[in-house]
Amino acid sequence: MAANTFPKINKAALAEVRTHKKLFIVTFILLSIGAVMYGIMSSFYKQYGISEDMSRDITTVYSPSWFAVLLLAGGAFIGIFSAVNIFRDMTNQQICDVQHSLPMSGVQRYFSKLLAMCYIHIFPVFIFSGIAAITGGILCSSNHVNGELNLKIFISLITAALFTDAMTIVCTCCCGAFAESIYFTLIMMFCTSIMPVMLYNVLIRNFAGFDMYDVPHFIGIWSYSFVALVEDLNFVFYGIINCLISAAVMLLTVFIYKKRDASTVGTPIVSRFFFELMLIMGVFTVYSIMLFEIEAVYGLVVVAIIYIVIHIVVSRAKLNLKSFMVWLLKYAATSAVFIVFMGAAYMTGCFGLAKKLPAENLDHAFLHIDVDCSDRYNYNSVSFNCYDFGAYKEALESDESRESLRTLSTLNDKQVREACRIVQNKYLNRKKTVSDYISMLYNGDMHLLRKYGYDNTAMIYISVIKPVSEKNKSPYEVIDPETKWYEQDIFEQSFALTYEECKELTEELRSLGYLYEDSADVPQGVYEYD
Amino acid sequence: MIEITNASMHFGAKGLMAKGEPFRAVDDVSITIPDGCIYGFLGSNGAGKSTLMRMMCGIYKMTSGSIKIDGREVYDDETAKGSIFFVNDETVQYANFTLDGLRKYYKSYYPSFSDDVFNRLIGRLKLPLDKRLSEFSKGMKRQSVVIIGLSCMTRYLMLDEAFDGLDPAMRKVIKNMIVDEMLDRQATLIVSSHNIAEINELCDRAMLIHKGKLIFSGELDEISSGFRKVQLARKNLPVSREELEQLGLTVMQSSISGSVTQAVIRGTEDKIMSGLSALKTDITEIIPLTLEEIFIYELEARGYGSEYVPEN
Repeated sequence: MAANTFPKINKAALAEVRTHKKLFIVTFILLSIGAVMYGIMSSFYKQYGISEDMSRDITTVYSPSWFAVLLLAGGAFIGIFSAVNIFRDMTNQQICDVQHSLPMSGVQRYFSKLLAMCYIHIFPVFIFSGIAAITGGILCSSNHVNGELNLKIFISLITAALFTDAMTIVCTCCCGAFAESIYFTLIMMFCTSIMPVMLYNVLIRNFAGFDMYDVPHFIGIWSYSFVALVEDLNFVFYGIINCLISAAVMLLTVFIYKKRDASTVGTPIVSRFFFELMLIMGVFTVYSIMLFEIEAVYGLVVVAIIYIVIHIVVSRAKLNLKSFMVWLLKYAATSAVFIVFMGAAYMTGCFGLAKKLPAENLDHAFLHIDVDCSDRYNYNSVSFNCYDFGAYKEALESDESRESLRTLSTLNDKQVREACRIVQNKYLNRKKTVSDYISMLYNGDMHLLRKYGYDNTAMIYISVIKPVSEKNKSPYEVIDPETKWYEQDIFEQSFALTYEECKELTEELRSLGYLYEDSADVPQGVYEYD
Repeated sequence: MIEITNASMHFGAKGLMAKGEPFRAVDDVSITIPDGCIYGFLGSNGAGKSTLMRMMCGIYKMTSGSIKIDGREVYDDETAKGSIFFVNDETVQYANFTLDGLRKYYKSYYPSFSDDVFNRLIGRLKLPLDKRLSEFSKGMKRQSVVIIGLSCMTRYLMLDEAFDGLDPAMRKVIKNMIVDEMLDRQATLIVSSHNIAEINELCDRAMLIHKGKLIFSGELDEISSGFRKVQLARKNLPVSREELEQLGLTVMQSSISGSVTQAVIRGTEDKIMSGLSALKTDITEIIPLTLEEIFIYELEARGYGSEYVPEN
């Protein structure tokens, strides 16, 4: 039975390919030109850098043709059109009549379409990106340059193509009209790529004091945002995970496809659940973008307009006052969920994340705490260090003494954690009020700077000294190429506090007795920094 | 044989958070279509003919009931679907195909596809193989799709309003082509049409569906013999509808003009005559009904188009 099934599915897939041969040709042209241009236009240039053996050198740097990459990326994104056309039986009654009456079960039909997607889009992307990567690799090896970037570009293109295809197939199977299948796909792609990273970033930046690069890699891994990890050493691994998720999504969508029959073809919204999920994701995405940089009140209006417009488009001619009111109520409820969610994050210090400290042993770790505050007349900057500055200068004087940099920090693990905890608690124990929270959202002033002033902050930096043999980052992080050691930043956190809180914090840190202090009290407007 | 048992198809009742009353496109329909016959589906616009056809070839998953082709439930069954070919009332979906492309397409799905039949029919109708169907006239498009349907060599061919919009000469060409091919191989043809004369001429069996409900089904002769038009004349007091109904007759329509009553009564001639024997009239005349008249009277009796029909 199974032996007969594949030839049958394959025949049907080839019939689909013949039907959509124009799409195949366009994809082929984009990708083949991209691959050829990649080989022809990629180049090399010389620059000063640090070589593998940590000595300063003139190095040859590989520069792939970004125009060619753009063409290849175009070939990857064209999957949207391939998928909506191959799965047109979900959105067009006439095509549905033809295809669903053919002698195939729903599962066979789905897999024949998936195979057609492979023939029309996935295999060409794989082949031509592979050709480009191999050509780039040969160029790099003939110029004695590390060609890893070619592999990363190859992985990026494959993941982008698979993500595009998977998302389009899911959205098309959840929509009954052609227009919806396209713009829902675009919205879902945008939301899936932006929302997790942006929301996480907004939450941790504002309520836990961490910065963008602290976003864990699993956040947004199944999205286009994944490409942002290109500098990561494990990029290929994450790429494979991304591809596997896309493949799994495409395979699992068979259950949605199989469940749908022709009776819902032509209906804009087939799955109410999917529609509401898309709207919620859309609202959360735009809010998180607005809260990132712009005043949130604009976000409310922009989202409301988009929300209503989508409902008007989806409801076609069936527009009345009652449904309009229902949409507004739904929008209000979705916004309320977002506001409550963000409020919970505010009250709990991003659900306890503000209390996070590195898991590793921090004996001899380099701790640096800056407390800056300003009233109307004075700027007060106090730096707490884990070492004596004189000893630091001495250590830098000769190669031999530089070895002592490793143990310059006099702090043990417990002391580092205690000092950090004092700073964190100063922020966490602050009285949090609803009116402050509303003011935050309304003004987009997530740190209440308007209320507490702009120059009152406490920052924690922790770095550790590690042997170069353990180094797994790029050479640019090496502080001194002559030493066997390098400094790695492992923790950074900053909080906006009030002037009084900064003063109290300074006293509390001072009272610990084991931190070295540098302070600079200067009149406002005459700031001095080293 | 196709067995349809209590088949129902309700739209709008599916999906998460579905609201409102479902629309009953097909409601508890049961018919049997024997092998080798030409079966006509009759019904007003929106009666449920196309929906029933789509259910019969596995496009729609029915809400309840069963549709079996040669003993196999048709929905999602590749074997059952392999023995039926459906031609819907549109040809726009084939617009980008050439006839040769269409042949290759269907050959991929139907292992029984016959190039001989295809070439013979193409040769007879002289249709170009390399032109897109979008460049064809409506009649040529219909011919092309019907040729493909016949070439697939399925045991059942379903045509949904396949002759609508064609001129009489083209209708005849396509009809003859279908009938010749289907008769040769003892296949079953199912045709839906608004043109009752066409069904009358082409089919040996038919069914009438209205608002999703089956009104009647069976052999055409049997159907025709189940209805009679009766003309009754009685001086001074014409026969009223109530009088006829009191005699146990099923009156579908009646009108009085002077002393003459004209009524359409359901039943065989013998049954009607025996019913009327108790009635004293000056003239009693029984006339057989055409299928078209049966269609109109059945639908009128159910209020279809009544807003446009003057009383009496």
